[in-house]
Amino acid sequence: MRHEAWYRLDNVAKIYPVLARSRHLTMFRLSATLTIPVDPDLLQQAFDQTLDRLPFFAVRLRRGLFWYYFEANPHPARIEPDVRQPLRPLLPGEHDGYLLSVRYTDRRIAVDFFHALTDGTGGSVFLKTLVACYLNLACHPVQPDPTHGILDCHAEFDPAEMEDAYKRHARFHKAHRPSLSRAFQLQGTLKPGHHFQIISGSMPVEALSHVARAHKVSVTELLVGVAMFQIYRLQQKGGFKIDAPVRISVPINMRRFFPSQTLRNFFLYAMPGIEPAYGDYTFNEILQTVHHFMRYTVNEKYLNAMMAANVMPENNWLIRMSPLILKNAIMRLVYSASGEASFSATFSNLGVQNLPPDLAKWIEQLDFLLGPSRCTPVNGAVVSCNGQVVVNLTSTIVETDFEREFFRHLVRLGVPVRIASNLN
Amino acid sequence: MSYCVNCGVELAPSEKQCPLCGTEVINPAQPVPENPWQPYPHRDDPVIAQINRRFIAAMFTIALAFPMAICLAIDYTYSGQFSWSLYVAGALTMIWCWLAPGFLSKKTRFLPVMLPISCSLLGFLYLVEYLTAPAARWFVPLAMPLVLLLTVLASTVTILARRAIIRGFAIPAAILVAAGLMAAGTDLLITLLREERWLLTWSWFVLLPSLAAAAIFLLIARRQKVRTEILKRLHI
Repeated sequence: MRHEAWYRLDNVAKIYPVLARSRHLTMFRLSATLTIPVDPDLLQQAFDQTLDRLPFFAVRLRRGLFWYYFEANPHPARIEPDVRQPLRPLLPGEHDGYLLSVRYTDRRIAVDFFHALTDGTGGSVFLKTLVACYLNLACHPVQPDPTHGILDCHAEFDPAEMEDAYKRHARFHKAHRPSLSRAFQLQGTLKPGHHFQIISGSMPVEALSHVARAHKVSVTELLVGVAMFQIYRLQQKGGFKIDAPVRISVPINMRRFFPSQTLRNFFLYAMPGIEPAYGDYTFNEILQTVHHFMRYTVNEKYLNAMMAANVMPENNWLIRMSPLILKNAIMRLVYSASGEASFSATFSNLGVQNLPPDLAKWIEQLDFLLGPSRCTPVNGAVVSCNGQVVVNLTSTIVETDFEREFFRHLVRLGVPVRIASNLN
Repeated sequence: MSYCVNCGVELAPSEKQCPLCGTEVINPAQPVPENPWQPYPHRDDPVIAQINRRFIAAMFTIALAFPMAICLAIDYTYSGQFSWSLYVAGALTMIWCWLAPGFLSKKTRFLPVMLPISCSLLGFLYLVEYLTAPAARWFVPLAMPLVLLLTVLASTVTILARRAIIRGFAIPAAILVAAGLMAAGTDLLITLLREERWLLTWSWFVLLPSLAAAAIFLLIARRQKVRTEILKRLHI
């Protein structure tokens, strides 16, 4: 980082270093499949230029006595060839300490991000800026367009892009987080090591929107509803605890409600769910539950209260003065007991990525991958671009029951789905 | 384009079988191409070999508990009571208390290490006094005050810092002062035990440099570059 020697982790980012080595979910990937082959030399130049423009991505994680912090990484950043099993948990010393890695195959540029660094929105700006910079170097001019997340690689760094927006916007002094009981979680045969499978379904935006409109819900609510219904069905099939609630964690982009230019983390979770103990649910009931829950919780007031509940512990002197080792142990315990235990899966929708025509014509497909974990073995990530919605389901278990039922359900609803995977 | 007859989904040309249900793709009108574009290459990173620290801690515990149990058993079998084996048991327990935080956490810090050390040290010293010469009475006048002084000084600095009575660069300065006071306390207690009077002797040579170092530390901290370096490592 050329502009400031070091900076603190934002509010949400603090949990990720604690989980970094053991869980995939601390990583996510954004990738662009181009219509032309990728030249590694030009990509390396584009990566260097992008890091010059966005210096807070060129950092490494360090341990302080009380908190982790980021500091400028003195090593040069290098691109790497892509692998079949991406999103490997962060290892000390890997990538020269960089918290992101740019990987390439013949036509794909992928960036694996450590979640402490940024969220999906920040990551998408990085990827789009990188791809635009690469295309410019490859003599395919793309004009910078900050409204579409394409920054000018030769412009100056803007400090507003690295603010901790949680601290600026959290305004309540008293707030509490609703406590959630342990949720049902899928189980199966774990894949070895850091391996997991990716099953990707792409479908036309129009067909999916049409189905969502017919059910009077949003596309996110429809996909979350389908996922929840299928997890619920697998739970009721037997072999599992059938009374445990089924909840899905849905990341919410806070920039929609609180204006901020930040490219660091600025999201919170909504946690729609059902209680199978109350009786049998139909698909429509689940869809309505998800819809009304999202309408009730995803608004400025409720999100601010949630944000304040997150920020408050950070202002507590007892917590701040506790040594990092103690904080890490407590955070690990709390996260295992009440964090990842309270939901069955994560389903993140990055939304529609509107690209200007001079960039859109070079991009065949955008992909968004979320690392799964042992507790939530199947996670979903959605992004749409150029009229195609791509749903990537990542899973740490061998069995594909959930993925099969999820995509079959969409087909039954009238949405044509095209499947690709990393299994072949 | 091929479809899975089971799932009804279209399959990418790279899929030789349906990833969802495993059904093989058989499409006489469009055979699977020999080298289709693969969304993910076959290359892979090596599998991570993770060290299970809790497992190592458990093994370490067994490794200490086993000789302890053998010593206790041999001692009791031959002499009908626990005598020399209690030294072994005490020492091994103390070693466990000293080393366990290192195995149970990734990086050891001061307080989680200090408390087990203090308690186990006190226990072991008392055991030694009890087993060797209870009449000599060196534990209460010397060993216990020294260990307690160390614990109190460390705790005082921690509490002062936690309550923000001292902050920033006063904290390392306070640690240096505490180190000087520890040396002075040790000197006083030894002199009191040997000569039965309160007198500082050699500890001046520790106390004064400690105070000077604390002052120097505060002065160095006035330099912007050094202050930034220290701040980023100790920010709270």
